[in-house]
Amino acid sequence: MMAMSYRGPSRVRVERKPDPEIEHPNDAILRVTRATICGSDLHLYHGLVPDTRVGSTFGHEFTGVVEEVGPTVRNVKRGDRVVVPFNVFCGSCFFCQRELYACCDSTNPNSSVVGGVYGYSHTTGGYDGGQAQYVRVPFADAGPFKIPDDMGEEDVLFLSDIIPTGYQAAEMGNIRDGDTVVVFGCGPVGVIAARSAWLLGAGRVICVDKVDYRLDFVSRYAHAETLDFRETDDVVLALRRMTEGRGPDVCLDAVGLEASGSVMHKVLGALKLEAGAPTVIEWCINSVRKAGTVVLIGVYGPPWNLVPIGTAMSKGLTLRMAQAHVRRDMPQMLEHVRAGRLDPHPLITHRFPLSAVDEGYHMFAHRQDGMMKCVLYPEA
Amino acid sequence: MAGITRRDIPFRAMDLPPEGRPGVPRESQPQRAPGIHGEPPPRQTPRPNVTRRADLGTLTPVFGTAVTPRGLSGMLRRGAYRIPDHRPSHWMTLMFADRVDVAEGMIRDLPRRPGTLLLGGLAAFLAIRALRR
Repeated sequence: MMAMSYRGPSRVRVERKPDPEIEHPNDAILRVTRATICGSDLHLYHGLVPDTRVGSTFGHEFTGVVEEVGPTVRNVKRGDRVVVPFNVFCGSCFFCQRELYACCDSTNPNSSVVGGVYGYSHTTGGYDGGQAQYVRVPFADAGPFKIPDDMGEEDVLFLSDIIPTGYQAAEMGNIRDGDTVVVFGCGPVGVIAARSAWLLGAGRVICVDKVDYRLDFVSRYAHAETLDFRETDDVVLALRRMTEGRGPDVCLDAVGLEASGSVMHKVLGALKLEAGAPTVIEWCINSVRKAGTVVLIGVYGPPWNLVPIGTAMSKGLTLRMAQAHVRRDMPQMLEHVRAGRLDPHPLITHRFPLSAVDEGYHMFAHRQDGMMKCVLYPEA
Repeated sequence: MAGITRRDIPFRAMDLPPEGRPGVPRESQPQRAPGIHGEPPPRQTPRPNVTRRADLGTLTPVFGTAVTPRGLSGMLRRGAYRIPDHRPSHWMTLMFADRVDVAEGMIRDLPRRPGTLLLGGLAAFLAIRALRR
C-alpha cells in the first residue's frame, strides 16, 4: 500500500509499505476513505514528540470501509463505513469502564501516562496511522463508529478528533450560564471549542491568536470576539481590561507546546530545557479570574514546563486537562453535526491526494493559503 | 465580533444542564463500553523487539508494530525503555535516539539519491587526496 512516511523534522513523503495485517483476534483492517492532517500532527512533523521513529505513518483522524475483521469482531463487518476515534482503547479495562478511553491500560506498552493513539509515535503505542490506503484498527468492537446511511464521510470525519476534543475542552471549563470564555488558539480545535462554549451556556466568547485569517474565521464561524496578541503589549492586561478588570471566568488552551508570544519560552524550548513553549498556560493562569477554571487541551511533551503553579494555587484555580475520550462524546456530537450546530464543512479549506501529503504538511505548518483543515484522499 | 450578542446564537446554552453533558463519567457506575462483552481480551501474539516501559511485566493485550527499533537509535531506545518514564533521562534518551534515527534514515536514503551519493563520494575522494598531499 501507499502511506505517508516520516523521515525527520519537516520531512515526510509517500512510500510503499506492507499492507497491515490482522494481528489480534479483535482487529479490523480498514480501507481509508478520508484522513486529515491535524494540528497536533505538526508536533510530530517538527520532531517534538519523543520516540517518533523514521518510517512511521501519522494520521489519527480518518474514516474508512471495513475490509477484513478478526475472528472475535462482532460489532462491525466487511463493507461497513466507519469513523474511528483517535484513541486506541479496549472498552473493558479500569479506565474504559469509567469512559476514560484516552487512559486505556490495554493498548500502550510504552508509556504509563497515556493510552494508545493512532499514528502518534511509539510513545502512544506505536500504531501506524490513517494517512495511508489501509490501516489496522485494534479492538474493532470498541472504537469504530458506524457512519449513518444519510451522512457522508466528510460530515463525520471530524468526530474522530477535533469536534469531541474542542467540545470536551469547553465542557471541562465547567461553564456556567453567562460566563466569559477565552479560547487561546484559533486552529480547528480552538474554533470548535469556541462554538461549543456557546452550546454550554457562555455569555461571551473571546478568541486569541495572531494569524489574521484564523481570527477572521473564528469571528464568523464561532461568533467570537477576537484579540490579536500582536496588537497588544500585554495579553493578560488586555483580557482583564475586556472583562471589567476581573479576568475571564474560563480560559482554554488550544495551542500547546508550539506557542508564540514569549522569547524566553521559545529559547528554553529550543534548548530542550523545557518541553516546547508553555506560553499559553502562563497566559491562561495569569489572565483567568480568581477561582476561575483553566483547561489545557493543547499537546505538551515530557518531561516538564515552567508554569506559574504558585499563582494558580493562590488564585484558587481549577485546572483541568485531558486527551479527549472521543468515543464517549460521539453520539451527542453526531447530533450537533447533523443539526448544523457544529458544522464541519466550513473548516475544510483544502483537499489533497495522499500523494501530495508533503505539500499539505508544508502548507499547514506555514499557515499558507488560509488553511484551516486539510483532508487527504488516500484512494486518489 | 462587533454587534454579535448572546441573543444571536440560536443554540446558546442548549447543553447547559449538566445531565445533558457527556463528560460526567464519575457520576455513573463503571461499565464496559457499548458492545463490549464480558471476557477479558485475548493477547496479541508477542513479537521480538517490541519496546515496553520498565515497570510493565508483560506486553499490553494489543500493541503497535509500526517501526521496530534498529541500529544505534534502536539500542538507545531499548536503553531508554529500561528507565521508568517518570524520570527525565527516559525522555531525553528517546529524544536523542530520535535525532540519531533521522541521521540513520538519511544514510539509508542515500541509494534513493544517486546524485547525493555521487557528490558525497566525490567530496570524500577529494578530501582524502588533499590529506595525502
